[in-house]
Amino acid sequence: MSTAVDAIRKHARLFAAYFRFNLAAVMEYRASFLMQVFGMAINNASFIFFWKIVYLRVPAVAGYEFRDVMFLWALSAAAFGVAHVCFGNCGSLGRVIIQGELDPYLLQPKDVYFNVICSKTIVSAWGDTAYGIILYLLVYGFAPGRFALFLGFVALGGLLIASARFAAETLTFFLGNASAISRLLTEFMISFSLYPEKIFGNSVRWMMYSLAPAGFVVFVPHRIYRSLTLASLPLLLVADVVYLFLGYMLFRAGLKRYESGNLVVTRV
Amino acid sequence: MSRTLALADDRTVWSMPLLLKKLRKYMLVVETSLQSNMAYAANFAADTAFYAVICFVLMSLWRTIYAGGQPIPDYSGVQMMWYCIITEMVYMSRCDVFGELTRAVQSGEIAYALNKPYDYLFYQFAQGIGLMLIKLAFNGAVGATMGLLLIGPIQGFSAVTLLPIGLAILGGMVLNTCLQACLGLLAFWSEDNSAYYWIYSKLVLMLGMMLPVEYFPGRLEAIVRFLPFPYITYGPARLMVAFSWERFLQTAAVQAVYIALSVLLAIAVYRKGVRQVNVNGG
Repeated sequence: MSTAVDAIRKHARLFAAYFRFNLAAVMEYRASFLMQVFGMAINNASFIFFWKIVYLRVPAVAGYEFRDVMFLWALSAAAFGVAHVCFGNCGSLGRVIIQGELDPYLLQPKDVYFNVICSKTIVSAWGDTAYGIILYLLVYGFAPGRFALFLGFVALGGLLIASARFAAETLTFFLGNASAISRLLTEFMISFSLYPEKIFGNSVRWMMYSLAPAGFVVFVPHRIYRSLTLASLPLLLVADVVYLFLGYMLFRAGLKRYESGNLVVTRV
Repeated sequence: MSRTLALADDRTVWSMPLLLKKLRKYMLVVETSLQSNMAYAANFAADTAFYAVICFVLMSLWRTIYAGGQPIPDYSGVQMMWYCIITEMVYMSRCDVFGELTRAVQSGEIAYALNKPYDYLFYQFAQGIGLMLIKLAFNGAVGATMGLLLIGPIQGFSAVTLLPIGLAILGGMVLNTCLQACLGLLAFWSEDNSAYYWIYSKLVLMLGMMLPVEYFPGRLEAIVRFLPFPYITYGPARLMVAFSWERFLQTAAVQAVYIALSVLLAIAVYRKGVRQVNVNGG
């Protein structure tokens, strides 16, 4: 038991160190960092204009009012942002494998999955995170309890997005190059999580709760948030744990197939 | 030094045989681009799949909205869904002239192009046309199939109008390419010009792509109609869903004016920018 706690503590320290160093690295080019952050926030904000015009013409879309759609946008953007700020390599594993850059991680005394996924940050994802949180506060205001609930959903959604993307990238171990599958999964998840759930038919909704888990990233949280009943919360937690576990096991299975290219690289 | 070589081409006295010769040269570039991109046709499969996903999502959205009543009289549900298919097709078949020009200027690669026997801008444009035609073929096939299977034909649509609609689609894509080129060339002065492109792409997306201009409130609609952005995707898509020769002539005329203006602007910006290129070393 104490070994497990010890391992968790060590990995938490590793995560904190990566976070600190990644942040320091992006802040080295402060102007570029701020430009990407604001650029991404403005990029996302333009869609508010689209929805505002739509809602000038229709009162509700599939039972969603303007505020509900903004909740989807805020949560999707913030969760996507957190996934790529904290686990920036979740969408790059395929490239890492193909270029033989996995070797340095194999030599380090830390869990390879964890070590790879959190060793990088995506600069523009800071903009997504900031946009999501600001949008939420603008639309729903600041009520500590509800805001904490929203942040909890952001954290769970971020874990799920990172884990799903990383799992798709892991297929590179088996298929040689899974970048197209990974990209498609990402587009699926993003596109499906930004529109009211009920505009889609049953087959698509089935997919949103299995292969591309947009349902667990935004729709279940939205239902919990709207009704303020926590009955679905265990379902959300179980879904997160299952996806993380399956993704981890897939990675372990794939890692056995990895062949080193003996590439000598320096990680700066 | 390089500039003299580059501009030597421009000082030549123009005549019809020379013009045809030049045109043949750039047609050859288009052909080469087509051939080289066709060799990697599988690369477009993922883009086309993404296009299909977006079309599906937008069709689902508008089907649901129209199930509750018609928000504006100008578009029926079928017309609105076909509008989305066409606008997305035009936008997603674009080439990345902005990125190509930015990279060339920032890396200094443009210096190698200055002494080649072609105009660098027209060369890039011809390269882009090849890529756009292939993407358009892929996206067009998928979009048409999805439209016919999931929506059904547009009422009153005639195959005879395909030619003018095709011309308007090409006009929109060319206009987008020219405007992108103008922004890409700003790399001569701006170290990071991506912000300009972000703003531009949002203007294209919001002012006449995601929504037809008829959806905008009165005054905004009038302003938007004067801008070039709706004529990239909205113009061709509106023709597709409600064709009239009058509308075609108006769309084509506005596209022609904006294309001419943006070409002139791109040439002026290029000439001014290329004066700043210093070629060192051997």
